[in-house]
Amino acid sequence: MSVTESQDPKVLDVRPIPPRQKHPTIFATFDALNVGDSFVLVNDHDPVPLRYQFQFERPGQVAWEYLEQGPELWRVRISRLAA
Amino acid sequence: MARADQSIGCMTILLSSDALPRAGFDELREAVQRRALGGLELTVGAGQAHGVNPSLCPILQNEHLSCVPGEAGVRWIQPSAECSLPMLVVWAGAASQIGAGLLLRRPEPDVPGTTAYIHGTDSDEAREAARWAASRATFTSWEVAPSNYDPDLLDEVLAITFPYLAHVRLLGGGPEPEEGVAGEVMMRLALKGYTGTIALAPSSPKYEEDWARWLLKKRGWGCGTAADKAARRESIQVKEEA
Repeated sequence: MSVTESQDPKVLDVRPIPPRQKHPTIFATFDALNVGDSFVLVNDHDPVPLRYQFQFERPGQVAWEYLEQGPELWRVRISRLAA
Repeated sequence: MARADQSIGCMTILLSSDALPRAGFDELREAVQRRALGGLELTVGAGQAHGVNPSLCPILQNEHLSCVPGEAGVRWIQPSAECSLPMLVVWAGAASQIGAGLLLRRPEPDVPGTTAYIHGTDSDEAREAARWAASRATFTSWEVAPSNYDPDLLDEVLAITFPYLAHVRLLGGGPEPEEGVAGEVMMRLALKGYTGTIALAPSSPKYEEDWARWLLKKRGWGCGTAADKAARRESIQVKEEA
């Protein structure tokens, strides 16, 4: 499914957020989701380290789906699979 | 290239011309394009260098400022707080011609077109703005700044105005100090499913150089992972020194 067809409007664009606030904000947003819900993370680089951090800190709880992969923007649908 | 966030009602990040008050209009557009933003919030009548004024001929103005998908069009025009009613009406006409809205610092029933009444992080202001928007079938604009930031009021203000909220003026994000409000506000807007615009603006003129460097020279916006590592290094260093 492309972004334009998405029925889920939750979007967290972290570009305006100072670097040290980014990951806490992303994790707080994730933790506020209900199981089965998701948000689209927008960033200006590929958030690969964040993905590893999710796998380490929220094992088995996260689904990660790239919707757009650069060169200017990366969009990732992050879904909460379990509490 | 048409961008997804402009083709659907999706949160769109804009640049306020307040961030680059010495920039010409082309430089503002360049900054927007460098950062893949969705357009501009243009402050007018405050001595800014972009030189856009309502006396531009309508055709030229339309070519100059129009909101072409994928380009740095003007989405909102922000006159100064002191702008007279006749000038607000003129700006409303200019905004309408380019498909933009007009931001209002006070309720003016005689201003036509798409408007958004600005309020701060204050329940009474939010209620007044929501009443105005409801009575006029128009919108509200939430201006969040470190100076009027009260974390206990964020949810309350958002609950009051959310049905009418079309634009957020986010002051103090980007290159400004870490104590800013950006993370808390962006998280709440995301969880609410906000689909309007958010303009990035400085909280004070003293950060002008930081914004210019951040928008026009730096490559990235800063990586959260790198910031986490730096913070851990600082923490370890402090413990070792202690």
